[in-house]
Amino acid sequence: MKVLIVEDEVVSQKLLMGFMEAYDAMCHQANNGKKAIEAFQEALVTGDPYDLILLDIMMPEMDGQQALREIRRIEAQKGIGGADMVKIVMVTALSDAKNVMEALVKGSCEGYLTKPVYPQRLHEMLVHLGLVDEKP
Amino acid sequence: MAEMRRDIDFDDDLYDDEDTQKDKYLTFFMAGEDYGIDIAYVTEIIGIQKITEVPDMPVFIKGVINLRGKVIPIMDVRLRFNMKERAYDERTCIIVVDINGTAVGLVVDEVREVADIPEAQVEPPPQTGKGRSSRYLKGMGKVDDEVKILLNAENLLYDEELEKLETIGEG
Amino acid sequence: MTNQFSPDHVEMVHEFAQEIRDLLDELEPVIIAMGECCGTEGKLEDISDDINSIFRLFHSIKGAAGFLNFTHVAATSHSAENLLDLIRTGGMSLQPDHIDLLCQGCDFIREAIDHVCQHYEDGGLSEQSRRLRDRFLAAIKPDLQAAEQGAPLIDLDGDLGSQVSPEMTVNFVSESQEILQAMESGLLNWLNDQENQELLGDIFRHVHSFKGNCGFLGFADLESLSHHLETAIDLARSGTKVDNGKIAELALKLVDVYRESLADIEGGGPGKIDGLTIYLDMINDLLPSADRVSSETVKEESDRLGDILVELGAASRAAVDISLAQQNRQLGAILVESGAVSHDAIDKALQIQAERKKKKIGPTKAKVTSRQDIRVDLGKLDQLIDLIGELVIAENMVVHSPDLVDMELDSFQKSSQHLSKIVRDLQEMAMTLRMVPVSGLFRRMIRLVHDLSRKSGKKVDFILRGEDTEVDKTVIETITDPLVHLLRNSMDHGIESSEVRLKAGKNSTGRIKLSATHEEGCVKITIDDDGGGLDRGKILAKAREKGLIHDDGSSMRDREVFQLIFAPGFSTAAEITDVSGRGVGMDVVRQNINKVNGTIDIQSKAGQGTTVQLSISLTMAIIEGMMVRCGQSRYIIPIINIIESFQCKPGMITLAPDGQEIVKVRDNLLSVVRLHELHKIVPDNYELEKGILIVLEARRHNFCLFVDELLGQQQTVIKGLSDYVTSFGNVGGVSGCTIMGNGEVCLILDVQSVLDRLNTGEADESAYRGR
Repeated sequence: MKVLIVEDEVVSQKLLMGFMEAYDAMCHQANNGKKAIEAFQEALVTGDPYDLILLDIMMPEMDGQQALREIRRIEAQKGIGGADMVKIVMVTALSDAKNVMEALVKGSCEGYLTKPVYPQRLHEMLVHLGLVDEKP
Repeated sequence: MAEMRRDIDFDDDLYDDEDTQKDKYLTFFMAGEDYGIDIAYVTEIIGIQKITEVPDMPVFIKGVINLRGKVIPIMDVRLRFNMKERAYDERTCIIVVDINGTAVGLVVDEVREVADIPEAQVEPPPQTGKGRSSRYLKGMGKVDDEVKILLNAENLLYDEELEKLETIGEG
Repeated sequence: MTNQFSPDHVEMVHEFAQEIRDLLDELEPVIIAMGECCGTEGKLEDISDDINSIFRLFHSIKGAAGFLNFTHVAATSHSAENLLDLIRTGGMSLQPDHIDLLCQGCDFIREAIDHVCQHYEDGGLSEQSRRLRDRFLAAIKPDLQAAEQGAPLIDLDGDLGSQVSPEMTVNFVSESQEILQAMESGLLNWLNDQENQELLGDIFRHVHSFKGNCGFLGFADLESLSHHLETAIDLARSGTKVDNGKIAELALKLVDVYRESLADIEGGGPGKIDGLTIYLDMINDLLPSADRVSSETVKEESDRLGDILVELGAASRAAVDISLAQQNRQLGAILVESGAVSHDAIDKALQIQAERKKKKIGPTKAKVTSRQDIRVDLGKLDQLIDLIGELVIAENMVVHSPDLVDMELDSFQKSSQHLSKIVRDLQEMAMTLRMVPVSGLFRRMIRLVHDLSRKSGKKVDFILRGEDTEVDKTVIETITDPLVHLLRNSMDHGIESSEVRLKAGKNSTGRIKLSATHEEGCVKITIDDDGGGLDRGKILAKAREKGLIHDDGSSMRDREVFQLIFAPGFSTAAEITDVSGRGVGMDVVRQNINKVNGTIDIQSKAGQGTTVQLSISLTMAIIEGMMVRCGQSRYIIPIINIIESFQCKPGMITLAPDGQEIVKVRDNLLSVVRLHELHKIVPDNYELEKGILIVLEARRHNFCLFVDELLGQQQTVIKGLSDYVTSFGNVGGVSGCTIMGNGEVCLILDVQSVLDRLNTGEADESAYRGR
């Protein structure tokens, strides 16, 4: 599993990284939306796209909502649709209706987790998305 | 006062919310008579001011004024009752009423006071048949020795005009 | 019920509802547009963008519903997703039934939204959801079975294009750009050195390899155009007598055309070239007639597989027709199975079909655009607009304060001018805030017409124009129902069945055009159909039967007769189909339109169609006005009605026999309306020479208004005269009022109705003159 962790805050980065590595995932990092898009595009071009992007919302330069829309736009442009779209889970402290629905509806993200993220909830999300088996 | 009313009108509890306004009338003076209008309709009383005439209106509609940014029509109650017109002076007042959401200013000679006239002291309007003005009357209120003519505010605004419009429509 | 849910959840649900509704409004038309190019002739590539958009719609709904624990909604969306994914990946071709199913999916989601907005959970939807899921499953299954049985599956919709990966396209575009660059500089050099064979050789190679790439990736327009250019350059190279200069010039122009097409491809488009045949003709015109490239695209061609097979001589017309009768199976498979054609022939035909289809203009797709916005409570917006109105009044009061009259206030003047400008800008901005394009409303109508068309079996082309036209939000709300009724009427009573149409010599497919335009401060919504038109006789008969008219109506003009259908009690409830579902007649249409001060105009020609036009004034709450005085009264005249003003001199006035004063302004003779007579006021002057004449215009008619004095131009906030006042009937010549700097009320003249009054005197006579 190839994962991109988009998070500007170091502690959360480390936590998510550590957690994902427990699944033997190959983790890349980006600390803002722009970097995330670059990484996403590079992975597409090299033919080794990400299986999962964990995306924070509040970040410098470009926030997660924008990045999410941009990623979906790039996919649409390249004709990547359906189950081939990269799975994106928002991981954020923001839990207001507007942000949640913007991400889920406008951004078509696959999941929305609010911080603090507990390993159990992240695990359930990964199972739900069919990325890992039931057993941790 | 309240106790007294409770004795007379035992349905009063139902109207507790409106208790402060119930049976209260704003009384005003016009052509030698005292009139009363249900206080619930009255929003404010203002002095006479410049009225902008509007063409094609019945005579009793004097025009419109600006009341804090709202444009409201002004009715001369004397003319409404087919009484003689009288020049406005410093005692002339405009009673602003709100009847089912329609704000209208009523020009009267002079405003008197707010009077309590319990329902028991109100008699139905006499069937004199003299003129059609009786349609605008709700009844005659007795306060001490005096008689106040209580107006039916809703009929004051509409009634005849509507009938007129209907007959035009039919023709 | 509500209590058991947290406020957060409740808020979240409403946000969900709003977002999903928006998304549905945006994408439902895409589903229907997709339906127009589906079926046996559908080609995956044409609609893959749409499929992806729709997939995302259901995907988003699934995600959001899952988040809110709406399991039934999520599950239903999931099954829609499954179907779409299967179509997307080519595992199944898109069928008309699928479109219906997806539409039902949308309907279910809409119902579900209403449901969850009330109950905040979706337990009550389980049965509905299950039924719909079963249908989706049924739609998916036969295909799966067919694949499992290993039935010979000929992918009729397949072509090279569908095997092109996105990376290939990206590479193609960047490579092509380089080639075009080289081609361009080569052409420029060749222009200066036309005998240089080496240059020409380079150019030829560039064109040739470009053509090859285009062909490989299936961009037919590009390929065909390059092929023609290649031919032309080859002729130049081989020494045939052609005008090298002209060819080079044309080739340079074509480089630009190629670039445009490439840009389209880069943006995910099909790289279609507008006006392809024109370019092809231009090339041919430069060539000696013997060498002209036979251009198959110039002729009207069929891209139907059956026709092509017949054309190739691979199948007889009869065989194709028989097979067509079994349309529920794909034509190619049928023909192969029945031994009518060989696999090779099908392949070849398919290739041609693919090419021809690319050349054809694709169905107009509803463009999916997203824009950044936030939602604002309409009440707040109205408050803001009211406040701005008050601000304009307050600004007027300050700037025109009587206290300041005759004072020398240079810096105050400057500042107040600045303030006025800002206030005006603010005002303009405020007016646009409530304006929304009609596109959302129009798109909802696509669905309506689609449903009606399916139900009635009448085929119809539904054309939308002017979707970007912006109108006030309340206008949209008010005209939605009328529009539904009018369209339903067009479909039910206007458009005839195919047989009737053919008999009448019309195209078997009907046409309904819905358009919106801005005109003279109004928005005009027009519904135009090419159906049977209104039947004057029938309308009159019915009106008599209903007691709406008492004579035979022969003296009535067509327009008056047509207006009868809006009379209360005219339309019969029995004819109302379940689509409108409201059981109201056309009178409601008129009521709604009247509510927003709109008018309805109908024109109709028997056998040719009907045009219904709704005119609704834009909410122009603030106008630029000229204040005038007449005696003690002041009036505002809208600046847009004023042409000029002047003081007249003796000798300019003529008195007509009927007493009408006429003034000669240059070469025009204009009637004079005295404002003091109109409104029965006492003026300063009765002699025209002493006052001011203002030339006013309304509906392209001019006349003069006589007043005492012009007081100056100012921003005017329109206030309605009280409803109570208007309940006495129309106020003559007055459209509303405003509040002046001194707090008094000032009437706004309605130039239109003043003109009408002027004309009523003549109207009776002019009617006889046939005006």
